[in-house]
Amino acid sequence: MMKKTMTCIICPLGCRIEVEGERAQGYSCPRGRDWARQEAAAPMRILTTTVPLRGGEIVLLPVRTRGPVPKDRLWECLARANSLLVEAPVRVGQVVCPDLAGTGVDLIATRTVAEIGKD
Amino acid sequence: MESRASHREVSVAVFFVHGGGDLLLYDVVIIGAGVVGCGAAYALSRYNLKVALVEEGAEVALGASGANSGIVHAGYDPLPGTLAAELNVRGNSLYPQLCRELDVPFCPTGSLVVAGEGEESALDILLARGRANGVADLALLGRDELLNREPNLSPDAAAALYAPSAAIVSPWELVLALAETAAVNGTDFYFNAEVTGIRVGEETLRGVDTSRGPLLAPIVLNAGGIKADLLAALAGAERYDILPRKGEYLLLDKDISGFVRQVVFPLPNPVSKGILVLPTVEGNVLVGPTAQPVWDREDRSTTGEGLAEIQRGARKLFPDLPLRRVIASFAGLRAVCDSGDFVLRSSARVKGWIDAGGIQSPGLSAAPAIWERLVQLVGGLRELEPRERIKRPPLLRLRDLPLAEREERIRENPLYGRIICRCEGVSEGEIVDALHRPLPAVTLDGLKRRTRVGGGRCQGGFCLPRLLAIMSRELGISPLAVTKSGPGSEVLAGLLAKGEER
Amino acid sequence: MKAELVVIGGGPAGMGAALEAKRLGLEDVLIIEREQFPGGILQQCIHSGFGLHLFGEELTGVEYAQRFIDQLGPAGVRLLTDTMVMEVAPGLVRALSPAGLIEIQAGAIILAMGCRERTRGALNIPGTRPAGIYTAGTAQRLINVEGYLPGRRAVILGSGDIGLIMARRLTLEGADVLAVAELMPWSGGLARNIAQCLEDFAIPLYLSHTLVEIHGKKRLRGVTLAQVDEEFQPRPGSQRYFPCDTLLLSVGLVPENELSRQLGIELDPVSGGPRVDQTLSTSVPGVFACGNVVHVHDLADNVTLESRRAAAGAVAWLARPVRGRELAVGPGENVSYVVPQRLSLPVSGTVSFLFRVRKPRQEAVIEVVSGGRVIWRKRRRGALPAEMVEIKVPTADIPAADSLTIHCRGEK
Repeated sequence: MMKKTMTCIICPLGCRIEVEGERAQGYSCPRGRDWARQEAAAPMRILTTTVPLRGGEIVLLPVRTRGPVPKDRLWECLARANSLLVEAPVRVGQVVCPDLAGTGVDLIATRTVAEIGKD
Repeated sequence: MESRASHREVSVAVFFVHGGGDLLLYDVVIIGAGVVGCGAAYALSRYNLKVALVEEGAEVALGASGANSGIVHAGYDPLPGTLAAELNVRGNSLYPQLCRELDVPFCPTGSLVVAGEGEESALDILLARGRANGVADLALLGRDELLNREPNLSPDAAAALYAPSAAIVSPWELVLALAETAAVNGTDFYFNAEVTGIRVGEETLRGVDTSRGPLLAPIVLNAGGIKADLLAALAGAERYDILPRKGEYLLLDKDISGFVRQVVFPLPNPVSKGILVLPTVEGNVLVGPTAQPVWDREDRSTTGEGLAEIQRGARKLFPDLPLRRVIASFAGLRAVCDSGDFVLRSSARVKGWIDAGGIQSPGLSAAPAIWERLVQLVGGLRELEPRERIKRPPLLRLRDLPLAEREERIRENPLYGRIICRCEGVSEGEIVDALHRPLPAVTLDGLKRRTRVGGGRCQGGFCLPRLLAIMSRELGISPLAVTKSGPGSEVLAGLLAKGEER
Repeated sequence: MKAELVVIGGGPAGMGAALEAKRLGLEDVLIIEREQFPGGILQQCIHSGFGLHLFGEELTGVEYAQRFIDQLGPAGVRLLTDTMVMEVAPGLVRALSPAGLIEIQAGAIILAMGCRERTRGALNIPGTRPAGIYTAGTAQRLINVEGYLPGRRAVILGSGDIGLIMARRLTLEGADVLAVAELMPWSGGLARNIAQCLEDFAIPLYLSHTLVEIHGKKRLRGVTLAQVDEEFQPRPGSQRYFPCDTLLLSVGLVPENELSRQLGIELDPVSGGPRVDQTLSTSVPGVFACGNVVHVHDLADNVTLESRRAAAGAVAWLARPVRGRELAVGPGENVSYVVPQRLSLPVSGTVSFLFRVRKPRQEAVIEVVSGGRVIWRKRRRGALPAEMVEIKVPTADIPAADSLTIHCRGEK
């Protein structure tokens, strides 16, 4: 089994974790341990970006994937997000694209935006 | 109110309608929109002449006029008998009235040349020179009075030459005021127009060719600054050589305003007046310049060695100067002439060609006297018929007004109440005004110099996105077309590749 | 106009303080915000990494801000947007907006203006002055809020978190990031940002490197980087030219204290913000400060926690405007600054001290010393300059001495 070394991205501590099979060391919390095992097997990332917004007080809607998506599918997810056009109003947490690029993960709004001219 | 369309836009329109044809006839064409060129246009606007000014950059004062110390020197420095000495002293005496007339700041701070222990005799030489040049009220000060005037000065300072007639101005505001006044009095300005040829027939001037088309005129006034010698050669006039000399500066934050109260020089060296420390009319502290010969006439870069030299020089005069408070560095090129003096003359070889070349320090100080000379030279070529000169529209400087008065302005125009630049307190209304003046801002740098927006300690970090939106709206251009300093200096690379229809 | 409490700035610090003040029973709390929307810099922080401490979940900056924005109305906090405070004196705030001049009689004032980025000028980088040079935060706003791409090939100077985050943002929006250069032998950003913003996208990080020249007359054409020695001087022969049209500067943040200076508030030259006590009271009675205006935080969560302490301080002062004897708190070995810079006696419960170390330590021992005696000590795994350290000292341990000094000893 190959040994993998990684920097944990779960919290600002940034622990250096070594993973070998199911064995992990260097983590400071269970979330870090679980993340490291996942990272060794198949890395996942949350995608944050913006999508164009029509009729809103602002022109871009900030969005993110509700949960992590496979890292090797990040560009695919991004391309799909970039093709979207969302209509205002939008509530924070609202799904703007379900099952983003077939990952099973929703893309959600991270900001509430009113329609232009309305409060 | 007068139409908001600027003179320049009107002229440009005419230009394109007649582009290529020989229909654009002027009495005088001035090359170069620095303090000499714009000042000449201002001075000539008192006479019944049709004047055009061509400038290769996008703005006025992009050369030495916009990057110098901003000092109106007393006149003890140039050697007696030179044109520089005569015109410096005369120019100095004209400044207070000129600045009142133009409504630009003028601060009669006085200046000090500081000598250390054992160096005092050098001051006697300057004193004698100043008296020979006719500088009034020069005095030698001892240490106590010196430290009284400048408490932060180095304890090594032993004596100083005090020149009460020295002053500071904002060179940029001055040049803009000259140009705007010329514009409202009928001078046509052509920016982004590089001179590509001089039309001469039978040893007589016919006009100039520019990258934007030809301008015909029997008189051409060469105020081309760092390129004046090249233009003179192009015209076939008497030769001289300009040796560009770079001067680098550091600008310090306003929060140390008051650290230095007047213009403070070290003892001059054979090449220059040394690294000086002075206040600016805006309340910053300015340190510099270096004096480095360069070959490239467009090399306005600052250098590591230069900035280090400025710091060393500044510490010599003011050991506690908080150099950490630097907010910007810049460099200008001084047009040093091989003759060592200003070149002001009508060409004997090409009738109608007037040179104003080699105008390095004390060029700004001498400028009002230089224009007088230039008017005389034009008067030697044709008759001058005086006429009334009108003033440019007044400037609204909100930051100088108490808040209660600002409120009245906000009632007239709510945009005066929206502060865009938090560091300098500039409102959206002032920015909009600057985009619609007789010579409107067309670049971010131009806007910054007119309103100080983005000129403060954040250097535009917060307001840039908002300025792009305002410029786009007011000038009717895409934000992608907004430039820092003219074509080729676009600020944005493009829109994000998103959505179907952004 | 009148308000019991005026909060200047509607970012995380200002919103946190206003909401806490309402929760503690103040009737009339007013936030003055210069932008069109509250939220401050968080509105352009579309990346995640916020809220883990406070909400137990990973939020983006925008979401974190939204949580507070959504509470303002229901809590009854008054909010003036598009309004810029021009003058402050104890008990009086004067502001301008398109509606005119607004004068507010304030019972207490909380300063929450945040910070700004250090610029090129402050660094004295030689070279030309072309278009294409931005602070990382300006580029962040252009990309995330306005929808513009500032450039297509970028070099980033400084490895602070915003710079790292922007390396990823630029990459995701189709630009090439050629390099991130850091003067120090260690990064100024969090390790996780190096992992997920640089390593994920194979963006090289050059430690002990600096920018020695900027090229290009109109638009940036390239930059020269060089390796530096222990004295931070470029090593001869190590220069390398990077052709690029964009340079982002991520070289530090500076608390924005123009109004504090106007008030004559005593500032800490190292933190760059007002000197405060444990209630976040500044040297001017009735004026409090919190968030990045006091010292630059690396986590919004910590800003919120600090803002709550400031609100509590202001509420207590409004009820009983007196101040007790003071005890000075200062940085000792390997500590650059400590907040609070003083304690107002009496103190009770535990006191939080926030500080930054000068140099990284693998194993750190933090000591609080008073009168030559160690009164409190704790071991800690690692301490980095990029990371703010917080210690909680029981007040029972604090003697009635004149001063405390905080040290961070330990092995490199």
